[in-house]
Amino acid sequence: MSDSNKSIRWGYLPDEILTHIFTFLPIKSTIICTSVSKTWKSLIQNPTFISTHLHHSHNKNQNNLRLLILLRNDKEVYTLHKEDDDPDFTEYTSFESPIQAPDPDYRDVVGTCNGLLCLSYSLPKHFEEIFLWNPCVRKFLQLPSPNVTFDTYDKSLKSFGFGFDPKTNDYKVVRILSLLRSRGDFGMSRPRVDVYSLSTGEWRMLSASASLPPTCAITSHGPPAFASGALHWIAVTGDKKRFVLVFDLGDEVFHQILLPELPSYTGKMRWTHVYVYGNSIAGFQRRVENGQINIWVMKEYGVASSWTKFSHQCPILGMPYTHPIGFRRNGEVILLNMGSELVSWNPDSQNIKNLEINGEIHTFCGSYVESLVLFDKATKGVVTY
Amino acid sequence: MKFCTVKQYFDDENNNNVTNGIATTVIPLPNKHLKIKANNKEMEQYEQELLRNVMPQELTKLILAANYLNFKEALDFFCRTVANAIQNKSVDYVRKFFGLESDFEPGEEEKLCKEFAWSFEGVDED
Repeated sequence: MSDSNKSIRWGYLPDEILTHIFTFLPIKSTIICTSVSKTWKSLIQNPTFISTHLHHSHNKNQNNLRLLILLRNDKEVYTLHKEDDDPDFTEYTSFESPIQAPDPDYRDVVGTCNGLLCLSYSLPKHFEEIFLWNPCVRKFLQLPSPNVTFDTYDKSLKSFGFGFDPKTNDYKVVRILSLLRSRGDFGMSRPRVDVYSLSTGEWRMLSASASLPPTCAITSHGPPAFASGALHWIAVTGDKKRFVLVFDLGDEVFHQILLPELPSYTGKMRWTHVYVYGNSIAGFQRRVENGQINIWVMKEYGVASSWTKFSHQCPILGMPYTHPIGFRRNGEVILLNMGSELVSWNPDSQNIKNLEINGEIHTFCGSYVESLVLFDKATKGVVTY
Repeated sequence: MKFCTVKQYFDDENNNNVTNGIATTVIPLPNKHLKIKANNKEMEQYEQELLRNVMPQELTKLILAANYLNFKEALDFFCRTVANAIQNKSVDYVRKFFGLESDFEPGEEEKLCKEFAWSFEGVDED
């Protein structure tokens, strides 16, 4: 048997076959392979291979994972949980953040996409510090400061979003500033929009009229839903009408999606969030007086008439403040019961399963896929840890 | 299966022994694959058997044959087999497996190993 290992001339395996072999390796092993030879290093730390690897990852069923980010004992905890064929939401792995957080309470998740996390940390009287981080390859970078005066910044309502533009194979962060004339009044001007692009490493202000949203204020808290190549928030117009504000990351233009109209006898309902639901989006609507939540799903993305309400309302689990934080791949809703544990609710059978994970107000839940994105970037402020 | 391509491949191939090896391993693969597709454990056992009975040089030829024949399932299967064989192994093990030598400048390799030190944690002993 040892003879067969003596002189194996594999050298002539064509590059595309070598990279095909690499796509079957776990990420850690792929990283080890960069130390095998110069050729292998250049094959792996290559944007084309990283895209192929990502595509392969998306298609591999057992790679579907759910990311949870929460605070435990004032410390940030990042865990990945299995999604497919796993009713128990078993923890797959966990990460430690390399970012020195000034105060985890001020940490916001801007979004996750293709294995990258976009996080923002804010301190009073400071610009947000925004980071892009891939925990699988242990690389992160901090975005440059925004090109706006702090005074303007401080007086504005800020919203951020993060996503991927497949047309240019680029990752973008969007910042929307709504200048406040006075407390609670978002003024009569259209918000200012800036876009950061990972490929250029710079912020760019959008000026074309079509690239600006209508006069409105974003009311949804937390990260926007990134679906169908666009970011989605709940926004409100001057005459108190709520709608879904959409920013197409590729074309860099804003659209609007109408929310379903409701007869007034249903009581005062408020749209609170938009979440990704499969290839489309879902909206959460809360009854103001008792906190009851209705979930609506846009069955056909972009078609306002296809908004469909779940037959059952979200259960209220003892506390008045139960709210959904995302969906599992199987359609179950993950509910956060303030100060208590996360549960998974089946909207059809109404079955509730305790996930035995303690949640708190900042808990983030989103889909995740392991990738090598950022692995080819050796310069431009990318930190390896 | 594309019969014309298969025939042409065998006509081109000079070495009859290699051809026979491929004929007995690659061709029956689709049926085998279908039979044991559902059962991952069986597939793993088949992979182990394949690694034991097939010489690494032949595994190269099998990969190239599957690629030439445009036989995606076989190509995926062989590539996955190789990936499983080198998974979580050290750089030296992988080099020996592929018969490669380091072509890094002195110091370059140390730098890489230091940069990605965390990825070498828990690697199988050689």
